[in-house]
Amino acid sequence: MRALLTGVVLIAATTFAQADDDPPILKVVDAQGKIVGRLSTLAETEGVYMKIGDAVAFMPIAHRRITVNTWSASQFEWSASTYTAFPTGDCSGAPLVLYTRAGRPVTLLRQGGEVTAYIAGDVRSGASNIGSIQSSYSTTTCLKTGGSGSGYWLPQSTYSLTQHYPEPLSIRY
Amino acid sequence: MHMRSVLYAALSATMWCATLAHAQVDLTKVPIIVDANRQAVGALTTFGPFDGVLITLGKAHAVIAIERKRDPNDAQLTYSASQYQWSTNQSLFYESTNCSGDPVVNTDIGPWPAVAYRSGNDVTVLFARNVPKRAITIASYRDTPSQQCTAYEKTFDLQAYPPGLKVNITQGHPEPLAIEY
Repeated sequence: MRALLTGVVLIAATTFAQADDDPPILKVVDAQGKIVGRLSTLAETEGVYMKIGDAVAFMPIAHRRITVNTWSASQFEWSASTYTAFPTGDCSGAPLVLYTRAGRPVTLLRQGGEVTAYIAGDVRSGASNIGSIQSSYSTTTCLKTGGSGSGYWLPQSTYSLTQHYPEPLSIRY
Repeated sequence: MHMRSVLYAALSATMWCATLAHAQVDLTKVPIIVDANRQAVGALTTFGPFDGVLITLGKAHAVIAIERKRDPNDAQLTYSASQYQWSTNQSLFYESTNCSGDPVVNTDIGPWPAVAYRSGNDVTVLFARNVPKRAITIASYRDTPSQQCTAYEKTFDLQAYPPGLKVNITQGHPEPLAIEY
């Protein structure tokens, strides 16, 4: 029995040794050390591709912001947009999804410690009324606008990034 | 008894592996660009400002960008959420006065400098010849959506690479493209 167990351990060790020989893959991990995915790049932004339902979506990350003008060197967070457009007049409800380079269009919205991904449906973008724009560079403010824009999607589904992968995120081999 | 131990050990090992595989993200998986027939074209790759597919011809490699498919008849910005096409150069520059021969390669990004251009349903990737970039005298240009060739009244010098080898990337891989994961 002991010999058999040793055998199993040896096989496991061999498997890990083989994995070590593969080129190392940079991974994004969450606050609990859980692997989020392979570190990828899209539109000169770093992030992770995820399959949510039938959609392949790119979720961008950025250096964790500590104060308005200071960023962590080693910690990362979900990179929510600085400006988010809403069809409503007071930045409430679901935001509009803006054009992204590839993958299902997605807009990340940060509300307190929560970051939610608003994911477009598999439909063409179209015109939409923009009632307000939320600016969140230093402080979060809601700018009232009255206008229309084109190239927007209405979100079809949401995915809580911070609930599945709590911040801060980090990058490791 | 011994047999049962063996089975138990084997079963435990299998279950342990299955749990591990389930709990881990599959890091070998990357988004793949597929053609209209869902045949793989290549992995979604990024180089500099381009997001697309790495196209290789001999020793030359260049990332050819993709873009969201648009309705050409639609004045508004109606982009597809899931369909893509090759991003191609609209204007091509020629040394000849009548757009004969291959256009010059007026880009530095690649890694191997290359331009992609459209002619009907065909998309061609033209790699730079393996010589330094230099001032090339341009005598005509082609507008690719209309395929119309126009001779310049006055020639001018453009910093570019002379044309090298080319490959048709839509042959066997019809558009629209999509991303699978």
